[in-house]
Amino acid sequence: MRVSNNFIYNQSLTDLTKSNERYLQTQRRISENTDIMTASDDPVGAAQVMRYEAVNLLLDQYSENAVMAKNSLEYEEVVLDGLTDIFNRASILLIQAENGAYGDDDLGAISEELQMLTLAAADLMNSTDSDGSHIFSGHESTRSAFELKPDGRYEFVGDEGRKKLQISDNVTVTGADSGKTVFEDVWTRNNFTYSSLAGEGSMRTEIANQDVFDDFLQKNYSAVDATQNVFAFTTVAGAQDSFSLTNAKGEIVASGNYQSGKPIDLFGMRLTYEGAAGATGIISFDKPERDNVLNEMNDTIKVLLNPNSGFYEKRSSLRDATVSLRNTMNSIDSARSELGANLNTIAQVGSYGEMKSISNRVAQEEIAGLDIAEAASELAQEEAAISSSQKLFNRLSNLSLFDSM
Amino acid sequence: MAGDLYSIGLTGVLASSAQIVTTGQNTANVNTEGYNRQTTSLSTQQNGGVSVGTTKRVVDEFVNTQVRTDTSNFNYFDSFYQQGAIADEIFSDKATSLNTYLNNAFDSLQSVNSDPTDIGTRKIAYTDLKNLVSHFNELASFSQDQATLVNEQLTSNIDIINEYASQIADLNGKILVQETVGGSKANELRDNQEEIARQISEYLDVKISFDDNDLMELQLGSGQPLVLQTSVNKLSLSPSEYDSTTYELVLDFEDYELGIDTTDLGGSIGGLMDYRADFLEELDRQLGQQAIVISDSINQQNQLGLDVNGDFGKKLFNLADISVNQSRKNSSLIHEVDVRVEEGKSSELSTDTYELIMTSNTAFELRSYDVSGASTAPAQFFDLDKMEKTAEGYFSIPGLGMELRLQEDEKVGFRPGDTFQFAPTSLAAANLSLESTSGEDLAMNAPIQVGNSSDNLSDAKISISSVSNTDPATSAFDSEGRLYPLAPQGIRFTGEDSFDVLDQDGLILASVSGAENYTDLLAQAGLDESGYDVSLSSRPVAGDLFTISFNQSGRHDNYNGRALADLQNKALVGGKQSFADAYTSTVARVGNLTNTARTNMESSEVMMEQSIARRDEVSAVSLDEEAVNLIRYQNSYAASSQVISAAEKSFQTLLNSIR
Repeated sequence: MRVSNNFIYNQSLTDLTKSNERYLQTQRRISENTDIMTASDDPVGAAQVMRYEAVNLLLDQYSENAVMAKNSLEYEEVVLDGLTDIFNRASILLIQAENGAYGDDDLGAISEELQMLTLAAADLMNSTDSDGSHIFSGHESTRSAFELKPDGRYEFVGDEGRKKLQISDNVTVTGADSGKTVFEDVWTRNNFTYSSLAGEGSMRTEIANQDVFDDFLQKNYSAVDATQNVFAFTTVAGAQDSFSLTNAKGEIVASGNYQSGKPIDLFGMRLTYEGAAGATGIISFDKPERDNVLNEMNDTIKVLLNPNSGFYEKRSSLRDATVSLRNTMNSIDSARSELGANLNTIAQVGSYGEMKSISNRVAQEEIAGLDIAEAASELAQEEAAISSSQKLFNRLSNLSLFDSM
Repeated sequence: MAGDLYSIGLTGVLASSAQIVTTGQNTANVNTEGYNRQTTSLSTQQNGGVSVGTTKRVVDEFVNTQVRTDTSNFNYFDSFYQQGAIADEIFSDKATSLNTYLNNAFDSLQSVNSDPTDIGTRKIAYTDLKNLVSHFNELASFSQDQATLVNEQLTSNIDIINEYASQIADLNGKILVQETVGGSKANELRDNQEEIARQISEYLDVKISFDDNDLMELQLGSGQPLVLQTSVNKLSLSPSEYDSTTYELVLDFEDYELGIDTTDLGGSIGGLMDYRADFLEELDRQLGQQAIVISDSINQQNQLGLDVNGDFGKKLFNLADISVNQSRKNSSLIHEVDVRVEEGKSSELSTDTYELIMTSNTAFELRSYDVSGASTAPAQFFDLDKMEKTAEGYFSIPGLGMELRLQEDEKVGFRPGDTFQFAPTSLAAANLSLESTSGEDLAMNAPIQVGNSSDNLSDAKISISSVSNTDPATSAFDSEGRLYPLAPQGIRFTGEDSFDVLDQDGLILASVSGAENYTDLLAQAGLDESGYDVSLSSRPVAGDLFTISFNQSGRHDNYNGRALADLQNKALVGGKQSFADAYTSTVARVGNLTNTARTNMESSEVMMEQSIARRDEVSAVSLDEEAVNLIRYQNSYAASSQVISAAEKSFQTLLNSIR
């Protein structure tokens, strides 16, 4: 090979430029603390890092949503706790009031406390969260959920909307329940009415066993076909007076011996007729209705405070309130269990999200992260390469035959 | 004999001194670029002595050709890489990543979802959308700025080539004069000429040949002559047939111009041309596609909800008109073709260029090409008379996500061969703008509200399962933003699996019996054209009533807001990628192209260096070699001088013997 001067100098120049370039590149990698400075360094790796980054940003969004949902749900939980305490106390008072030994004064005191409790419950049902939004008004959160109307009844004025927040790609959690579901749409006590068609005697009716009656009603009641909701009660005189209960199709659903003034218990209903056999009457289900417990309590308090109310009227009214309270507490319980499930979901999804986010960062680090030790040793290596290139150039440039002539 | 000795000595002295001159010339030009070392040939004379032959350049023409080819290769990849590296830096930076802006926008949409009535968070969301739009403009303007820069570079490169070409032609003239009239080899002029040819190959791949007079001829890679003897054909840029903003390379033959095929130009001009087409244009189109899909999908979703004032949502983004270029050879230049993105179908849109060619006066074919001009799908044929047109005269091209309108110049009419060209995604990102003026335009609420009657015996709950259409012309919503009285507004169950759909006045619109499930009840009743649908959570009981009404006041509802936020997880771009994925692919593509260009640049640099080294091995000066030669020629000079003095001495001896 013929070595020309051009070759010697060009070669040395290229060597020096290249080693300087490599040195600066490594230096930049160290100062930016990454192996991938631009996408061209590793297009596939860079795209992966960007994808992980996008997922992490999304996870951040979700975790903000989760925090917000959690706050709102925890707020609701506190309020429901408070309401449970109030309703527990009210239940005790109602049971006490049913005690026949209590005089009007005692009932007055109980009514007063019940009134206080009702007001406190109404206040909690209208409670607001930290933003001043009403928790139970649905989407109409600027107004209170329950308004007291001039006729003294509480009316739900919100809507049934429930805020939903996305906390992962596929999971949305619902925010606070609407007051309509938890408080307004609660079944009141089911009852029935007796209307006499024939007979001179007097009939007194009441529910002897609410659960049995509820069951009976549920099996037979129809919102579409009203004939299913009526039964004929007939007493027939004979050697042994007898009674029968017939449904709309004419089938006898119950029968037995009749004795004036002796209560007859049928499907949870207690019928007490005083008079000679031969009477006929219609028993019809009262239409099942939903109402909030505030109205039921107020109705009961009104009856208790009315000096003209009789014993049976008071007892029936107390039972109305008790059943309504029990149903409301059931409804609160189911709301709370859903709420707990939601909080659990948030916690689980949240910790899954955190894990995912951490593993994403680890993956990002593995793809683009800089191995400091390796980079440092590379830097030293390249430094050595530069200095040896320089020395080499020195030697080469001194090699000229002309010098020794 | 002695007389001969004198002349032999003299020729020896002359020959040695000629060689010393050549050595001097070589030593002096050791650093001259393009200099080829020279050798002076000697030959013996028949009647004694030595004669000095010609001084020749030591050149291997094949090696030189290799140097030029490798130089133009290296410059091709180098210019591509130098431009690509700028894009690479910009698009790799996290701070300028579109994904950051996308995430901010959707993040703030999620915040609005947590309280749609909060004007403050709506303002933030609006600002984030505005930033997203301006970032699209910013990224698109980068590719436009680069295109301008590339055009400027191309112009200056072509000026340089033309200048070099005329220098070569000029040198041809001088060489001819010196070699024919002067009679000596024009070594230095030829060196000069070859160096200029090498420099041209930095800009363009050229072929060199020599004519009968041994004069240099310069040809483009595709065969067109650039320099013939002393005449030069000038290269220039001229606007392309369809698009006046892109230039094509043209060779000027004085009488006429010839377009140059730009596929394998080589050199930095080839690199810049390919960068502009394959890299920049595709980059611009991908960004344009993303801008179109994001704006269209958000626009569509926003129109399905109610804004903070309870009005139907409007379009938030505005897309500019798509520009259509027509061939200057068309039968009339007043023919008009309009193209627009079909609303709600943007995910079908591709980044292709479309060419519409009339096949008769009412029929046309549509061809599609990618940026590099390769056909992407078989041509499709359409008959104008058979297309279903909108009131404005647009008709949809199925599967391509766009609508066309053709308006002929009535005096002339379309003729077969009339050609129009357009690329829907080109410049779309640069022209994207925000139509909305405040965050209050974000439609977060569903247009309907649903309710459960308090008299229901079951605990089944109704929920909205979909809102798909709010257009007064084709849905249950009227132009006032209410429900038509005849729209489904109630569902009453007559049994567990049978129900009636009721209108505003409670009249039965449809009855269903034997329902198998409780999802999409209106669709089950054949009322899916309502534009919304509802589902039940559990089994209802006969007599249960569920209501549907226009959403009058539920401003806290975030039904549509969630659908808006969910767009970021949908595979919408090109029907297969989410917004973030699409941008990631764009960045990966930039990185990939730059990486390939760098690898090619590096390997072609090594190739170029190697062939330069080979050329240097043959033609470059080695000082050591010259030093040895110098000593050698000095010695031969001294020796020849000694011959003369020997002749003189022997002559003296002879004279002395006579005296």
